[in-house]
Amino acid sequence: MSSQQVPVIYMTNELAQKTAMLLDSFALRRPSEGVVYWFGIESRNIAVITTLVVPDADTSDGCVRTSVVANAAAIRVITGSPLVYIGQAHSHPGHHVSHSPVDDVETFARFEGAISVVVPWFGRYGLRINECGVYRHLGGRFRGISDVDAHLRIVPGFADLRPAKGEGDINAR
Amino acid sequence: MSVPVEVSQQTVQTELVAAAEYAAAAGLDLDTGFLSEHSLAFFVRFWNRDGDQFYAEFQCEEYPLYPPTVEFVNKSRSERGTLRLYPQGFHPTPCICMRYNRKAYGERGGPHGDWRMLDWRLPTGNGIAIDTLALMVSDLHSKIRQSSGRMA
Repeated sequence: MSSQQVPVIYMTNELAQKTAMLLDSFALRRPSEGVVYWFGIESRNIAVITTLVVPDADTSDGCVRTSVVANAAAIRVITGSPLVYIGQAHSHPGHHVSHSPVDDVETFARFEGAISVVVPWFGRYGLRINECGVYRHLGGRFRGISDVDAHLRIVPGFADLRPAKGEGDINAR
Repeated sequence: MSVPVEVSQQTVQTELVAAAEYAAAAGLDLDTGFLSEHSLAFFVRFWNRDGDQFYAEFQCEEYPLYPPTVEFVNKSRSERGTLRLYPQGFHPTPCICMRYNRKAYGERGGPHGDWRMLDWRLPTGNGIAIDTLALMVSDLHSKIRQSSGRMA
């Protein structure tokens, strides 16, 4: 399946790290996986993630499940906007970032081009794409992606190029 | 029933590969310099949200049949298990009240007479099981970094 048939997805590093923080928030009180949905704007060749939505997931046994109602509520956030569902990130406890069989068949949502990123260590120390499992729904099922850059690119979302100023220099500019 | 020291040592060294990956990524200090057939202990330095340092010792005799004994120690490792070495938020005995800590079990003087050490890989309450050294380090990191202050 050629990756040319699905858009390359872009997201800012700020949203990537915010995704990790949100995943980690599921595991603050007890070790639990988490999930964050990614929404954005999509054209023929590129998609840009703009919006993170945390569904009201069931994590009562440490694994994450989302009900039809929870998913509907997540979709409701973008109703009336130009945003579409791009994919999702979910966390795993350790360094293993392979899709489980459950991930393959229960990940919301499954359609051509949907992306699914598995973040290690509950997202506890951030989202480093080279340490994540990246999957894309291609040809009817989620497939592990080795050429990640052809599918998901992290771009800067913020830069401050002013010279560093010490504390107390607020009048120096 | 006991575990030959060679088995425990090999298991610990194997699992520490992932623990070291986590520690490096999370900015923790993992000290395995004392690990040998004579001492199955390693140490991790954590920081709480105020930047205070905490040192945890993992004693892994008879691991993986039994969980390690996880205890807070001072920097020089001459003092262990006192309230002032514990971050806020842990059991006041003091104790890290998780199934992965041998000290938590009633049969070892801990608060949990309702747990059996052989079942240490079961989840503690709701949540996934913490059944490797790397997951233990990760879980402790989560608990410590959101705490503030010491127990005494």
